[in-house]
Amino acid sequence: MSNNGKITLEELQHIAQLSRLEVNGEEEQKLADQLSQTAEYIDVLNELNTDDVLPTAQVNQNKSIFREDVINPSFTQKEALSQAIDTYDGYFKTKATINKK
Amino acid sequence: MSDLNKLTLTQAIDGIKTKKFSAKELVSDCLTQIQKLEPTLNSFVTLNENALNESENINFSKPLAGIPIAVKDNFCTQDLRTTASSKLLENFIPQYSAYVVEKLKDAGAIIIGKTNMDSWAHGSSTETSDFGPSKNPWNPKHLPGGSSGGSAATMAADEAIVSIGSETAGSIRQPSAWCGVVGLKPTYGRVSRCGVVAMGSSMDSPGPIAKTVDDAALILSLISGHDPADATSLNKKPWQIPEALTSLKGLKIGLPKAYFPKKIKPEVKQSILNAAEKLKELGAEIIELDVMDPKYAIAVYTILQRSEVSSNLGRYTGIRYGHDRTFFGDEAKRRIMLGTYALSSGYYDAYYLKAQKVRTLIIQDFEKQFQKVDAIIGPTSPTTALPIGASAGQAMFGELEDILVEPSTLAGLPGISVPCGFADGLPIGLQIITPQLREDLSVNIARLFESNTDYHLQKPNLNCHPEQSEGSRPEAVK
Repeated sequence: MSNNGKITLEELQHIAQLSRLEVNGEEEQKLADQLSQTAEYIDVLNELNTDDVLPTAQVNQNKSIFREDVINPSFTQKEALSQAIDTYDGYFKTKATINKK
Repeated sequence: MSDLNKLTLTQAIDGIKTKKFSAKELVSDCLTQIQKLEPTLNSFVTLNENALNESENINFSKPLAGIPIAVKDNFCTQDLRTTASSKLLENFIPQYSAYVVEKLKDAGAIIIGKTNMDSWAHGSSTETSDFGPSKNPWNPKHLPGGSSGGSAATMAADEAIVSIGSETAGSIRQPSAWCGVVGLKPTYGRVSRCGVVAMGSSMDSPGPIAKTVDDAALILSLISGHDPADATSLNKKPWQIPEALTSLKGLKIGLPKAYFPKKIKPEVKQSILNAAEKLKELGAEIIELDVMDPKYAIAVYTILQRSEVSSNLGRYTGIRYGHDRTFFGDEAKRRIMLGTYALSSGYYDAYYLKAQKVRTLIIQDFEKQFQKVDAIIGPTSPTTALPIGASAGQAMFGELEDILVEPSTLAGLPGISVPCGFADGLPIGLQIITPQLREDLSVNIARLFESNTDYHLQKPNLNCHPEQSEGSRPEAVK
């Protein structure tokens, strides 16, 4: 694991951007330290040899759960929109995600 | 009649059915207790203002007719605010109810309120709630544990008849131990996660927190079963309460050496050894086990849980419901970011994949142990309830507190915590772990232990006040 698990401020800002979170000021160093502390702790896993071990993604025997493609009762448009901060003409309203250029 | 709020679920059901008292009187006594204690305990985030009205029209043919139940605030309740103790969801009124809530309502129960928790269930203290910490009814200077701390506190303080919590790793068992009540974490997939604010999806398991083992078992029998809306829900009929055992003869119970870490509180260790002795008296053979060091489970859990959190909390965009992402608190931010880091290109193999492989080793270790024994026991938590403020600024607080419940959670195993002693007036919990789908066994061992001990009958002295002088602890009274 890189940098002995130490997370740099540059890395922190990159992670924040990927997470769509804003991190600034004093918070930046504090979070970097705390994340480094956690990353250091989890290094303990390197003590174990897992060369021939298959990963476990989930712990029960359920596999490929499908259902019939039928329409079931669902929210009305009014219900679906009832918790939104901003709506327009029966739609959710959100900031533009692509810049006009 | 008064103090009906102190009844167990079994007693309350009997009282309503035989018309010793009405559901309205029962709900009313719980509300009185809530009014009295909430300024001290802060067990609830939101109360159901219609609870008393709902108690006027009950259907006696239903198994939980008129029973007031406290539900953790990460279960969606239609038309009743659901926040997961997060400011981001402070105004969220769900348009539907969680599967578990539907089942409880179908059974006739009345949701009396939504209980406080660590914000987003991220923690083991209930101290990270955006609505202030809950306090331990045994001593309000101490934490109730978490994340289902509010639910466990309502049971110790008799603010409701029974309650619902959820566990990802310890969140049912640990607060139950710290509050001296019974917490039953079912097999992963036994109880649907539909409508529960998602945390670590490969581990999340809803379950009851109750005053007795019988009460917890009854609730599990009513909330379990197949739910097509949850793809990991097991295709099984609802769990059935097993016939009670009269002895543990023939049962082998394992006591892992590694479940007594160096830092364990000596009184906790002693209580567990006494409990093992009691189980031996009841007929069980106690076998010492060499299990994998739980420190690996902490690391695996930390990686997998943070990764699943970063994915699950990605949905909070402030568009369809809730505020925007600036409303996340420190703990949620830390977890989202560590998860994003663990899943990011270049680190995925070293962290996430490695953790998934070690998870396999943990499962194999349990399989090996269960060839030797039928059940495993140990302390639920290495300490009794820690003082308010203990979790502040500690990025790994929950993981280290939950060291003894994390291995079994990663393997999807069921577990139960039952009261087994006290130290300095604070309760101690014994956990019993069994193979997947063997809740019958853990419930039966717990039931027999409970009926041969009186720890569950002791109640905190609730006339105490948060401003009480240091050192004056409420006495355990019978």
